[in-house]
Amino acid sequence: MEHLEEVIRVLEEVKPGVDYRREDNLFAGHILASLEIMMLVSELNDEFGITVTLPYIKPENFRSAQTICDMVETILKEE
Amino acid sequence: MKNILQGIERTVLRFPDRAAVADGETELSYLELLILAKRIGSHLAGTCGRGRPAAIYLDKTPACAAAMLGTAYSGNFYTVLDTGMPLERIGRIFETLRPAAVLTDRAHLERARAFCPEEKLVMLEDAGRTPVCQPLLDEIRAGMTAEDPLYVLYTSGSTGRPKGVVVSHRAALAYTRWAADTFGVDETTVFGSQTPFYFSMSVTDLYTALQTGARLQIIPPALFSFPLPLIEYLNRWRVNTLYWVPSALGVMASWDAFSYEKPRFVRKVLFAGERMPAKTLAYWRRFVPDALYADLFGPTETTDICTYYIVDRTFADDEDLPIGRPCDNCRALILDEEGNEADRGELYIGGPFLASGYYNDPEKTAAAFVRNPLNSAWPEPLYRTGDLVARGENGELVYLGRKDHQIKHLGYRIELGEIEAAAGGAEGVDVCACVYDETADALTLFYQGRASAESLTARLRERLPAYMLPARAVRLSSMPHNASGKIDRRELETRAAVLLGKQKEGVAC
Repeated sequence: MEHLEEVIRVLEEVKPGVDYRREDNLFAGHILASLEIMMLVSELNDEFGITVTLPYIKPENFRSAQTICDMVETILKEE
Repeated sequence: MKNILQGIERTVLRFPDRAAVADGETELSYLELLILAKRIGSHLAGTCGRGRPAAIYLDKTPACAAAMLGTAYSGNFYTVLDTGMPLERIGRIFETLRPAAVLTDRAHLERARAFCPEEKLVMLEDAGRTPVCQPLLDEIRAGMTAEDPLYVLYTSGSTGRPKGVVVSHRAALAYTRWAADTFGVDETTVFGSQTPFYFSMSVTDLYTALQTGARLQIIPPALFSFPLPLIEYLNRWRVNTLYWVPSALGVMASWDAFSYEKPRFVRKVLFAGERMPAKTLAYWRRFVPDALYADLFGPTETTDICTYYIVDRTFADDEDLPIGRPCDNCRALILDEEGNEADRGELYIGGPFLASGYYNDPEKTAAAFVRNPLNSAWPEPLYRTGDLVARGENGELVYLGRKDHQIKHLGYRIELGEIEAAAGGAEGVDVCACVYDETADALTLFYQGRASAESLTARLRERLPAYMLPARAVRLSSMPHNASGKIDRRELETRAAVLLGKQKEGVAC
């Protein structure tokens, strides 16, 4: 949870104009378009000094700012 | 056969219970698809007359395929609209299309109301419950010819007004027969369908499937963001044939997804729509070595494809794939600016794959669909592709670029594709696109990959003459893509103009 604000900031950089605090289905409204995930992952890697490996790139991890944050924290713990 | 539906009716007799179109959530067997299409056709025949356009405002689902066929049953023709399309663009399409009906569903009703008057809205849910009126459908069929349009597909026009390409039943039949014969499509084929129904490539997988008894497995678009779930999906549905844009195939290479999991059933990989980077092809061939790979080439105005090349050798990273030879039943002429046959010039296409023209646009039709200048005996129609090609040593055609991508910079004629081939072959460049800003007379290269702009520029200096060097190389974490999944050149042109403007004002960027 402690990284949620940073995740939201990264999301806002990649795709501004979305209320990431409330949005809990980033795919339903085509909010995150197909190839933007790659951009997002590259930003998350830089921001948190982590490597989001391919097995983490699955829809359930990118549904909301919260699920992205949970994923980042899991990776931080593992690394 | 005079009507695309006849081929599908034959398939239904052979394989009534096999899945025709599926998307992971719903599935229609051939018989179910036929019945739903006939219901929709019976409904539309009663509401929008004959020989009129109907717009289809639905997501890419099995029911959408039934709606397309239903329009044909009703003696009308369809235009599939992108449900994510800005309303303004729909408005521009409607300026020429003037549809008799807009077929939509409850999920899209609210948005459809913003561009369509209530009396023209047809709900899929209602149409799908209408009883089939076979005598009416028979009467409609009897009155139709092979020249009747099957669909009008809108492509972007250079002036900003979309052009509606009219494709007849004859063209769709001739084209799908070629595609099925050439690539051995039959009832064992499972297409993993990537391209939207409002894009010409989808004609190949949808109609070739329905003519042969193959299964069209629609891939949910969101999966193209998630390589491993995408591969799982391909494996789960035993997808054995892909016909994707190279950008979609490139997703696997960018993530090195095949090091984790491979598509186990894929045996044919066809691609079109943009240049295939040799590196992406090499990646696929390394991990899926037994598949047939083919580069297909053609504009919407030849239904989908007019030349093709079956990959039979390896390519260096900076080498371009040829576009091969004309499809059987296609005439391909290379004409110079005086209209004489040449080994290098503009590609003209003739034969039955040709579209009938642009809908409600006689001027653009006359400019692009011309008489064969080499034949004075009768008016033989040819389509001027606007593509520059050359005949290679072994007779294969090589794509040089768009006539309108051929730019004049510092007095030289330059193909942007040549710069892209040089940059695309560089270490650490996954994909790239070069755009030209006429106002600033400057080239900007955008790329995605690990390479630094400095190392890429240094490499280009080794490969290209000074006048072809981009003013700057800009690294993007992700290339912008348009609705069809192709690199969005317009967006890149806009970004280049902004960058060049800032440079002019002395703003650091």
